[in-house]
Amino acid sequence: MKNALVTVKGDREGLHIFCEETSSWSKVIAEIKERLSGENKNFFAGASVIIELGNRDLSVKDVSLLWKTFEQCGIKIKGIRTDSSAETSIETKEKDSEQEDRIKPVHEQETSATEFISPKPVYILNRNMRSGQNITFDGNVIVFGDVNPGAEIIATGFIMVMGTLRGIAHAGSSGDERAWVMAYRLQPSLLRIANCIARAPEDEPLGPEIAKINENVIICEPFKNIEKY
Amino acid sequence: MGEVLVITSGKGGVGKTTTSANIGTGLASIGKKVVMVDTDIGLRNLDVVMGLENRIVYDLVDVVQGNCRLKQALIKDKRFESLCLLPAAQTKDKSAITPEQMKELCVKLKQEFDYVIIDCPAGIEGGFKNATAGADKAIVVTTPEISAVRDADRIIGLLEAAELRNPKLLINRIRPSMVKKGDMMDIDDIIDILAIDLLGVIPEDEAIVISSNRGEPVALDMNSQAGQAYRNIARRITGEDIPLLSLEVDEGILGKLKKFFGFNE
Repeated sequence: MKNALVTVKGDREGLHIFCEETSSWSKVIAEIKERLSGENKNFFAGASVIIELGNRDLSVKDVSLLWKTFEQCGIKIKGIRTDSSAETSIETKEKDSEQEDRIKPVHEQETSATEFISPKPVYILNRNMRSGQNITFDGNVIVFGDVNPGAEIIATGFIMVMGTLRGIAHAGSSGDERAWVMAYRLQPSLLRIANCIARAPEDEPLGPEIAKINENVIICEPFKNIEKY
Repeated sequence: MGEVLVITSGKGGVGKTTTSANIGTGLASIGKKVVMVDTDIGLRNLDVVMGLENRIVYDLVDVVQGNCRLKQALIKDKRFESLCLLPAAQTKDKSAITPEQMKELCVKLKQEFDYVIIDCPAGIEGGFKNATAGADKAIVVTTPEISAVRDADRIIGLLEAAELRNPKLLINRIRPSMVKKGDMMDIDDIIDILAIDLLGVIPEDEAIVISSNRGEPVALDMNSQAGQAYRNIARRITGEDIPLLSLEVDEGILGKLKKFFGFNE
């Protein structure tokens, strides 16, 4: 690949999007847009990214454009990092959780904590989910119906299925370990909460069950009262 | 104005073509005007199952591309005056026609026939989209295997996305003896996953193989259980309320004796 405008790399912090320093900003934005909405759309689904600007200075307008682009694609910006010595004016525009220049690693704990307190939007689906159908949502998902094998739900919040969950569920996809998955019959082919992965127990559940993280392991238990969660 | 029914399944080899042939024949045998359209371009089979392969002059692609009139391509069945077949082309592929052309064709056929039965190819690509484009209702065929049920589930989702709501389910090749032993999926298990209305159940029957090879649809075989099941399904499609066939396991003389003397396993 010759001198790409945009390079994507992943490490323990998350996904970093490196922007080329010399080309015009509108070109870079166009490239990012193409990357996010093209065939790799699913790759970025539910991810939160760190933008690496290198030596570039951005105006407020440029940043808001960048912000909008990511918002449209349903991707969260965890931070924007730049090596530029010039005082950038990013903070004037951006919401609290965003940091700018020479960032010390982004404060993941803090951001996710505030996120959790703020009520998340809820996606309600009023039918069965069938093989091949999927939902990726930044918030909580409630399904009034079954989730059949081959269907997939990815949510940054909790997932609740008022029916049988036989497909794939990923709650707290942005790394929120307090997320949970509840189903009237919990028989997922694969269950993920934050960064933990589990398979459904072999024996059939007798009633509603809830799965959540306990000491880095996903545990399932009969669902008793909602107030605990 | 007739009704366009598409017979589909997703997975191959579950009996779409056999079902199309037999539902078509069943409907014709109770006096309906029926046309069967084979949309499996490049892999046509329906004409063989119906025993009409040596009468094909023009095909679906010829009609759609305007090489012949619709009437010229329709093949009259040997057994029923009111039954016609529009065969698929064998030398072209699925991209030879478009969903719009299919829609137009279905509108034309609907005006002349009571039922238009569309035999859909396996898969979810172009051929499937062509077949479902002009359909009013859908029948999803599955067998009691986990792979076929999974594909049926996918197909139902795609049908719903294409505004074909409430498809009907047809379960093919069920073996009551295996179900009884717990070696095969039960009808209830399948309905539990797919959650759609059941149109009928066809038992596994050797007569189907024999009749397909002869080009005589099994729906005309009065001695076969599968034939009876297909005839019932045809009548259910016309709106009659027919109970499901009871698929009792043949117990043999010993079983009957045991039952007579009150032994229950």
